[in-house]
Amino acid sequence: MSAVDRTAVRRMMEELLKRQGKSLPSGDAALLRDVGFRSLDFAELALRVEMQTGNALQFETGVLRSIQTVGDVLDFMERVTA
Amino acid sequence: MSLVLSIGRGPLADADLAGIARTYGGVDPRYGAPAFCAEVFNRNPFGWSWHAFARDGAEVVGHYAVIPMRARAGAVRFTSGKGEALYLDERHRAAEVETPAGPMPAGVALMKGLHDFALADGAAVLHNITSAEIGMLQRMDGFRVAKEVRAQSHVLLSPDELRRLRGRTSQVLLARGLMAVQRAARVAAHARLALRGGAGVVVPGAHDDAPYLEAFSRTDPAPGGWSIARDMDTLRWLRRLERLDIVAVAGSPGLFAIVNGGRAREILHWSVPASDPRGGLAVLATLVERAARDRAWIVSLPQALVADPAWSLGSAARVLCFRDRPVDQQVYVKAASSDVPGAAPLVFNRMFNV
Repeated sequence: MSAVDRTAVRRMMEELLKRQGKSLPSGDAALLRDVGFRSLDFAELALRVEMQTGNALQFETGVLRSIQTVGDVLDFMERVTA
Repeated sequence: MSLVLSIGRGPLADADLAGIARTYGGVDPRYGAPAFCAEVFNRNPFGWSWHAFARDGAEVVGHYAVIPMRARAGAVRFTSGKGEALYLDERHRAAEVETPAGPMPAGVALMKGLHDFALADGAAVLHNITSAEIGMLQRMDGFRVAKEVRAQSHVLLSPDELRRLRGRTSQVLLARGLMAVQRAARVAAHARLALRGGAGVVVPGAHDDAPYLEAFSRTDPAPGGWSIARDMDTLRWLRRLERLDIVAVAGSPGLFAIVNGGRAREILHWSVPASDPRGGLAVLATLVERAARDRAWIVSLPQALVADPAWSLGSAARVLCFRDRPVDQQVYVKAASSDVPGAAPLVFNRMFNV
């Protein structure tokens, strides 16, 4: 599976949020609920990453519980596409 | 603002039915009627549905249901729970709720909590037909994707189908042209049948549909896999929900077709032989007209039936200008364990929809 780098994932997150009139903070520590990045946004981001890599992502159950910050999203996408 | 999640099994009280009608009824107008909600959730012959509600105080702001449906793999019957009526008010889509496993996004908690509950309470399998985004959330909850490229023939009926192709101008123009050609073909077919004293048709109602449903119930929905069972209980319930439409050749009760209801219709059963092409044309034309009347946007035929020389469906489809098109169908499936029948290949048809 081809990896998607953090910069590319961050750019996708920015695009998703911009569409809703929201913006993405520059740091990784911001909480997703404060940013307004919802579970459906995470799902759409994962679909975009799949389209980019051409491979289906594999998840461990309960993945969403462990993702709280912008950095968690970037780490997760980096890990599952590595 | 703090949301409270509650999970349980029906029957639902009137206030809860009204809560679903007020919320999810805005997404699917059928659910805007509490009586329809009661028929789906409380009067299902296979038991009450499982429900998750999100409430802000006393107000229902989110809901999700799993409807038990009888499924069949060969001679084995089991329960597959269909995910249905997922709704979370826009104001609460970034909210979290407390769960035994800790705080969780409200939409995810609605689904995951109810899936776990239904699987622990008797559902052997869960299935869901939904958007790619919701499907992704379900994959994160252990669902697999059953994919099938279905060879079908279609007639387009409604501009709603054109809206689904938005952004692709050439496809919209082609679809618009196809709709015009197919509409003209229907008019010509009706005129031809009328001029030649064509076969009459009957549309059985609840008082005289038993022979048709019994014949349909004897067919195997999924040789080699699993699908929704065609037991009489299932068929009667789907009829009450207006999910099955029957048209028969007048005076020949063995010659008939069954199509599912709803916006995307598909022939589920066809028994008009090739030796009666006018009867076949009359039945198919009537099914299409009834679909158009009900504002369906498409009618589909399985190409296996169209191509079968024993039946009249192929000739009727050609007269009505049905066009071949492969369709990607995705169903999200989660089995309680790897040894339940639902782990076998899923054979899709429109009876999976409610």
